[in-house]
Amino acid sequence: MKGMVFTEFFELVDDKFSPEIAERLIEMSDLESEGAYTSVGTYDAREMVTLVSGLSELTGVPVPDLLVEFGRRLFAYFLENYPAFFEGAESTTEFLPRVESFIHLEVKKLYPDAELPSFTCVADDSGTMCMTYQSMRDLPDLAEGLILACIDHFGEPLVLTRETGHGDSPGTHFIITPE
Amino acid sequence: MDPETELLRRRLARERIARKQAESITEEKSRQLYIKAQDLESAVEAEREARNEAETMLHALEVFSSGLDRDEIVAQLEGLVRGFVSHDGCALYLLDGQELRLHSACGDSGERELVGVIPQGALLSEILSASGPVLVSDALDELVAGEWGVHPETETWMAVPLSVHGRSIGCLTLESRRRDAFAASSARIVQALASEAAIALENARLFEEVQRLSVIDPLTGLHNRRQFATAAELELDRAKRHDLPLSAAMMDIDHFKEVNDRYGHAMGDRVLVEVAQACVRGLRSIDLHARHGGEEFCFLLPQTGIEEARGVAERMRAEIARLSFSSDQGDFAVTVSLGVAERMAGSDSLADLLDRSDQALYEAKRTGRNRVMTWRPT
Repeated sequence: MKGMVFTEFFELVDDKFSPEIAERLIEMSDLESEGAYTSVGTYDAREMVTLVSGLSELTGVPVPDLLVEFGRRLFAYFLENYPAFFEGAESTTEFLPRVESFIHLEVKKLYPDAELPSFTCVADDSGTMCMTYQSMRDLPDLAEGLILACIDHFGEPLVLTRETGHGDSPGTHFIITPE
Repeated sequence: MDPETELLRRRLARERIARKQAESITEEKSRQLYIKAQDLESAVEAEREARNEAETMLHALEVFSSGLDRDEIVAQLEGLVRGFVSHDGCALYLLDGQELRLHSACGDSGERELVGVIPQGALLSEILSASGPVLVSDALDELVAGEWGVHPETETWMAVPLSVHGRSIGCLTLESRRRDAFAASSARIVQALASEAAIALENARLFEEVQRLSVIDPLTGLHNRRQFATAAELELDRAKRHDLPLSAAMMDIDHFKEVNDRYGHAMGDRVLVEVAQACVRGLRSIDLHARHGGEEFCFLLPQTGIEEARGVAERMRAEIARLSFSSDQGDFAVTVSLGVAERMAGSDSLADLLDRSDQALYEAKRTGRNRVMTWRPT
């Protein structure tokens, strides 16, 4: 997993909780990286799992809630550091399909080994969009946070609901409907 | 140490580690980019070279396929080779029967005594039967230097065979004062150019041959000199046998050089064609006519005496004087001078007859042009 995720995670911990919590989290997690992350590096994804569950233990906040919050934060990070990806998109339903078709394509060019989640979008005429999230990490809560932040960013009156897929349609389906 | 300081110390330590990691990752990425850039540069260079080669070949093809003059083809070949492979001298040899003869040389050829006819030998046979360039380097063989007469300071020498349809027609040689001067890619290009030139040279040779064998002057459609001579001999012979009169006339277009200079060579050619046509109109079917030279024509009139011949000549002169030519510089006309002579009884030869006609022609020119003069003994 890219170092950027870890560095942003610790920014979140510093902001939402405290540097002391961050310190204790690292101490208790027994990480191979020893908690030293650079955004340009690559680290074992399992460390992130350890850190998130450790943080939940320390703060009492449930893991899903932490992940949603982290998702929101990541959206803000992308908005600030990669404004080009947002150019020309005027709405959530315009932007979300780009994540797969454009953004992840560009990421793969730079990092061919990157294991990215897949987002497949299907829209109908009534303005409803269904975005199906699939990932080896399977972190639908993180995806939820990203999508919520996106809706807030474009300032649209949209409602997000979520369904777990089974059998023929695996992954998690996020349904975005106008209010 | 109080907890806050301890916390900061640990954080600082981790950041130091993270920074070092970032540095080494960045360095590695830089290194990879540099290598990639190098590879790309080499690839671009290779493409550029390949494209250059292709363009040269295309140009060469155009050049060689449009010319039929042997010397021009050779000059073009030498120019193209010079533009592509740096060398200190080159020479072209063509096979004349079994002998390989020096045709032309360029570069430092003035300072060396190139051998005119290459002696038969192992090297010669090797070159003529080779399918590609023959390279000789590292302290040039005494044999090569002696046999071919290359410059004594030559370090590398290459002979590129010229062949058409598997048949050798000669070779091109290149010399260089540098060691290992000709890279494989250069040799290949020179071979390709030489092959194209060989085809063009062969075409030129065949064309020359065809010209020589033909009996018609391509421009005017009249017989050429060779054909005229053959037919004229027969007529003279017949006239002698049956004791029939025979006259000859020589014609020259007046001030033709000025026509060319003033109105251009294309107009000059047109004048020749129309003059020739005007002549033919004034002649009978048994009369012989030919283009004798640049602006000179000759005629043989069988069974014709001097007075009748003069009449024929006069008719041609008048007809030609009536012709009008229009050009950018305005309309103009031409005139001709003619000399007429009759066969003399006895052992008169064709040469003698034509010579007398020529003398009369000279007289016509001398006395003012645009007239017919008959031969008079002086």
